[in-house]
Amino acid sequence: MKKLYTGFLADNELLFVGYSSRNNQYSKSIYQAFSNNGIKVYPYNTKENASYDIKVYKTLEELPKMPKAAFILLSRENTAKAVKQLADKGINKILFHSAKTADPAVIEECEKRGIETAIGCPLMLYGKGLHRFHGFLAGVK
Amino acid sequence: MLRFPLIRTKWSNEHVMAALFVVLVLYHIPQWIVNPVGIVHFLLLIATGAFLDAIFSMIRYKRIWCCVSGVVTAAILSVMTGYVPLWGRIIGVVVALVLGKYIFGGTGKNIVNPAVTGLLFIILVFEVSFPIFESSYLLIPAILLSLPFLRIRPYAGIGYMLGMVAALLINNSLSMNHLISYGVIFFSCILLTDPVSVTKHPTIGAFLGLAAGFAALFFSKVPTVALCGILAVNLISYGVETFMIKEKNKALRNTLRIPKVVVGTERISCLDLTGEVMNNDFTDTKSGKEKEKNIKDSVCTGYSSELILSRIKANEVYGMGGAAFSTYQKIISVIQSKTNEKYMIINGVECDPGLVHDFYLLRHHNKEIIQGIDFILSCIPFMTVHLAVKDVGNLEYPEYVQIHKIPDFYPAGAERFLIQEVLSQNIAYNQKPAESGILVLNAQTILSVYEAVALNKKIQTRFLTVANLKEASAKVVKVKLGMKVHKVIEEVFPGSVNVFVGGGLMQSYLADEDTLIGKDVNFIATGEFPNYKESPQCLRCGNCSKNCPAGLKVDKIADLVDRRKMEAKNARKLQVMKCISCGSCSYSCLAGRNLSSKVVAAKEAIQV
Repeated sequence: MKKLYTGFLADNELLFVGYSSRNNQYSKSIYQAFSNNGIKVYPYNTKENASYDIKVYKTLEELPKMPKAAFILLSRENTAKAVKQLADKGINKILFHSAKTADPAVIEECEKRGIETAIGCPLMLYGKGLHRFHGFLAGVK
Repeated sequence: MLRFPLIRTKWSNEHVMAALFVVLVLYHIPQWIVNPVGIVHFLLLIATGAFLDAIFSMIRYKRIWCCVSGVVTAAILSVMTGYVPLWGRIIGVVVALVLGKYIFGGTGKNIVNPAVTGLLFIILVFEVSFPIFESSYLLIPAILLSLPFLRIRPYAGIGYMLGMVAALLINNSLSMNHLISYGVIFFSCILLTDPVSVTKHPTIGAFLGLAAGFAALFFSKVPTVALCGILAVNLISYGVETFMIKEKNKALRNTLRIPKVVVGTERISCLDLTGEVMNNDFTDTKSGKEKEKNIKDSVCTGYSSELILSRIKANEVYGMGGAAFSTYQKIISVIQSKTNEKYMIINGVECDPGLVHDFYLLRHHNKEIIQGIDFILSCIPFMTVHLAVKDVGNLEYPEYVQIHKIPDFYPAGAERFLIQEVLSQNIAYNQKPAESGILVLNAQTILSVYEAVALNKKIQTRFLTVANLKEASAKVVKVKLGMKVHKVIEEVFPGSVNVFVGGGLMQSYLADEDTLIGKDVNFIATGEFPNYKESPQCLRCGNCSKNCPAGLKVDKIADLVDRRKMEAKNARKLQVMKCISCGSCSYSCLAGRNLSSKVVAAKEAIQV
């Protein structure tokens, strides 16, 4: 699978699947890094009764517009489920946060459905300081 | 929605620590010239400090936060223990970080200075004696660069310095050589100004510093006394900070300066998105006095105070400064006030660093504003009418409106500070200025009074500032209430992704596609998110409390909120209701924490 590269999110909008229901700092940092780089983010989390600092969509039907790309920050089990759901909604690019959550079966499923995939923490490309250095070491460019 | 200032101080804990580290390196130079192997020892010591800090950070926070504080601790130990074997110094660093810091919970939570803990351990095991430094001109850069660190705890630091100097004077050994070799500047500016070691209270800090500094060199000339003195100061300060909670209810003169982040060139024009025809046909063709006479004759004649008040009420004039409080209610409170001396203050201070529209209105809609003032004067016989601004240039107002230039501090435009500046009166936080006979209205509110009375127009439009923070530019825009925020920004700065909205740059929140312009909206902006990293490593620098215009102990409030121990009783004791939501604490926090949101959470604890 390809590493995250400049141009992967050329549409400048994406669905952020698994935005933290506890508003954790990591989710916020990723959301802000995308936004600061001109990428329109639609945060998505199906959890009921969660209170968010920002507008988070609970269903895909609520979205004002379905983007063509998605970033997944979920556990391994939930990633597999999410991929099927997203493919049905017409998503054609998926960025996985880590190889630990995107196992070969998930990647194969994406390939079958014609979904382009990449892997890498978005902060390595869109973040600042040490994150960019981490990206440099990891080959994200 | 979570509110936060869109700008932050450029300084952070890491910057301060890195600067301190550079100074500590300079202190080593004379040692390294004599013994270059010392450089290797130094590198090993700081590697130990960084490694331990990283390990404990991983254990405690599940991620590595900046390890520069561990490195600084190791560097301080390295400066003072040049003749101790390397293994002893490494153990000293371990003791400093484990016993002095992490056993209590990590950075900012420790009750003793880690470096002093480590040094005391080394001194107990090995023989270390004064003088610490060889008197050398090579130390002058380090000494000079140490002085700015006095700013962190000035009273205690200067007290300590004076105490040491006094002891040297009494012992007849005051000389430049001794000042350098006994480390007077090193102790007072580097060791004692650690925020953990010394209380923020000026008098207590100065007294403790003086006593410890004097004892350090008067009774004994071994560093043990000096270090034990600092440890004693440290423990007393901890007690003072922990148990002295009650604050005096006084309005503080804040010294926080936040420069405008948007340029003023756009303040000469306005973009109208309401679809209405702009009613600004008072072109400058007549002399000031003639215009003034015409306005008075044409407007005030025929309007009784009952009619004026009824139109203000019926047309729903509200406070345009952000509070959105009913102007009718405010005027009635002033009328009903028992005081005979009533004052009116027009707030055109625009202290928020992102706003520009009041500047525009005071100059381009001054005729309507003057008429608005006259309408209010028809209802209430004020002793004096004041116009408070930061920039007095190009203001054309009649003589009965006294123009006040307000000093440039934030939040100078907050009602109570304005009253203090203009009328030298203190209004308690639980007291309403209107009930004391003081009517404070925003410049745009008075413009609304004019529209409501003279034009009998319901207040459904407003002026606000739309800013592009990346380009540092802003425009004055007239909008309708209920318009979509995203639509407005698209008209002014097309293609914006991050859209923020709020009462000003210092109290904004992220707008989504459905966010509408409400009565409290003064400001819309596009730009990058400010970098709130929410570091758990609060150094207890006290900037949040020092810059709080309400004098709140913000660090204590945030700590209780974080530990989920903020109950109504605690919140009342800490007087959280005094908070005016100015965002100064978030702006100035060196740990990058949005502290104002913690104070909001504390306020909610009272309301629950």
